[in-house]
Amino acid sequence: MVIVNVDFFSSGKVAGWTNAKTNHSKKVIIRSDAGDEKDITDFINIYRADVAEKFGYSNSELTGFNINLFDLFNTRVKNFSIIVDDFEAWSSHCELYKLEHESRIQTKRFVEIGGKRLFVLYEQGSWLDNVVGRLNAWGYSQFNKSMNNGISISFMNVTEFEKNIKNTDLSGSKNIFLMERAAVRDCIILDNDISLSPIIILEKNIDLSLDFSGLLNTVAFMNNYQKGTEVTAVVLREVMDSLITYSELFFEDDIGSLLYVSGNLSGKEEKIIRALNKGDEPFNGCVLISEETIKKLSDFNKTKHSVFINSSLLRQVFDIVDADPIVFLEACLKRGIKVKNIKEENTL
Amino acid sequence: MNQVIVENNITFKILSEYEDFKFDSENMCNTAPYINVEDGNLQSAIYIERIQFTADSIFIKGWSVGAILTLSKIQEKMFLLTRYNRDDVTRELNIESEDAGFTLQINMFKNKNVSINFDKLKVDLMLSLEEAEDFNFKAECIQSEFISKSEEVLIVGGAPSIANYLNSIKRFKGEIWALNDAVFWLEKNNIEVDKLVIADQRFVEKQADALPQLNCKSLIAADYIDFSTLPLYEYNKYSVRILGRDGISDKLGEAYHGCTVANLALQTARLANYKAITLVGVLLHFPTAYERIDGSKTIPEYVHKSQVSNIKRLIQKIREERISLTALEPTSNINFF
Repeated sequence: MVIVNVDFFSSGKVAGWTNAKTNHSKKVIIRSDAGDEKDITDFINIYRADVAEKFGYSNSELTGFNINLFDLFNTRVKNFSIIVDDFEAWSSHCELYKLEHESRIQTKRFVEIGGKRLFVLYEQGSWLDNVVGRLNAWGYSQFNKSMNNGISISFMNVTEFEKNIKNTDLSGSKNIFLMERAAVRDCIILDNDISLSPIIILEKNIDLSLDFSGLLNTVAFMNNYQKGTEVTAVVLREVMDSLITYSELFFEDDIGSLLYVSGNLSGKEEKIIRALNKGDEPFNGCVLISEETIKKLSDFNKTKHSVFINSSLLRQVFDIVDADPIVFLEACLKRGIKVKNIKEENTL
Repeated sequence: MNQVIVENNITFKILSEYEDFKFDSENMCNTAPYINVEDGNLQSAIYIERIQFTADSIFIKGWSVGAILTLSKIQEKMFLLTRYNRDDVTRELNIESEDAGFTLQINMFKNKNVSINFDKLKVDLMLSLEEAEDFNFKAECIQSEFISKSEEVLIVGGAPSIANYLNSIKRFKGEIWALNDAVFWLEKNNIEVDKLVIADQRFVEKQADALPQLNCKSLIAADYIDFSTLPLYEYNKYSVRILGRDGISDKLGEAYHGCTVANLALQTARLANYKAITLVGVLLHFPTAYERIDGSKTIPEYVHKSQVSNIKRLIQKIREERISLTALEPTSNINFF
């Protein structure tokens, strides 16, 4: 019998094992939701001691695979199937359907420690508690730190969080908080440093007006969420998948560099931005270069002025970098990004 | 004893005294070097990387440690043996510098049977050649010397903005390097590409059928790129040893990849002593979706921060060294570092 077992899958990676190659000499294919097919038979090249022991396979029978889907498809693949001999042996669609529709036994919540952390915080018995319960029942392998780009995932209610956060630095970009709205106030009262970390506020239906950091807008843009999308277990997983798959965007905290966003260039900007980029700490905000001082947004003219932003802030503005400059600048101000106006004649 | 039969009326018969020394008929090269070690010391080694036929000659290229002693069954004037330095071999084998590389040219039509004696190893090549000119080999020659024809280089990336600079590219008098897919657009527009720079295995796999059709046969490639899946494609490769992701190398032939092929090209151009480097089609704009001149638009893994921080450090170093560096697009972030 051909067995295909997936221990972990995301839009960037799939890991598991199958006896299709070694025991049955079958070709194994991954088919993306766009219909693109890739032969992965040669990627089944990992010795899985646990599988070998269970099924009595020898050391030379390799059954494991751990595949980077970006390398395979050169794009993000949200859903995909594993095909053995024209038969769909596994599909992420089915897996996600089961997640929403099968009843699950509640298991102990995961608390991983160290490094970059993604906290999912909720009030006990709330709608998010219920959603997290479904995700947790999925099993540990889906939330294993090593599978999730080294990001530790912790699901906790506010009481558990209070017990677990002692001696933990909760400020900075190493932590991202996914919180239901009702838990935000309690958590910030527990430790005010939390407010220095990016917080994504979740409502039962996605409400982008609550997004003061910009991260939820970025995630919604990546997954094409419309206003009011219900946060089910599948959607919560997709939000987490986006944060983890693009971990360098969301978690890495570097000093960044000022990069061009939009506007017309007169030739003087090169000198100004090069000077700003030269120091150890380039300005961590948005720079607007103009001939005259701009006192209000409506004075901005994209044929005369140009906009630059520090690359470290991209996670907050990912959804609007291609938007009209006035929309972009307005969003920057709403999302707490400093905007500095430099006149062209200024010497630095 | 191995007997290898190759199609197109060319028959190889390889007799080896050593079972370890195997020849892969499909890839036309040894599957592994033969290395002779005695008492823990390297005695001799040989690796044939390429056998190429022309209308009247056969070229055997590779490297060896130890002399190629004799060539029996052929007269001395009918072959030419050239030795040259191979840094990559001497470095890998940790041996004193010597001319490890060799090219052996043999007049084929007069010599159907060739025997090469190498140190203790004897390799007999019995060859018959009837339609050599129609035969294309999948062959690879790793260049040990970086050869440039100009002091100026134009590096052409894959951003769609290159279409606005077609005339500037055509007028450019120096050397032209293409990054990945840009090579197809350049050749389609009748622009001669001097070198194709490759740092992404996905590009090789995606363009496996198109690459052999290129006029450009000179590659600068990261050493981790595997070309073995390509169909018949003959090229010269300058292999760059990749030391890691973040950093700047000061030795030609070594580089940090910086998550972008532009970084590999810039590091190589800097160390190859070009006096002026110009870029076009390298914007480093924010990657909400990567759009390319080949029409593709994808959301790949996010490595923009690494790309920017690495290339910024490199560009600032290049400017400190007084090498002229410009991007043709005013909005390219290359101009702001």
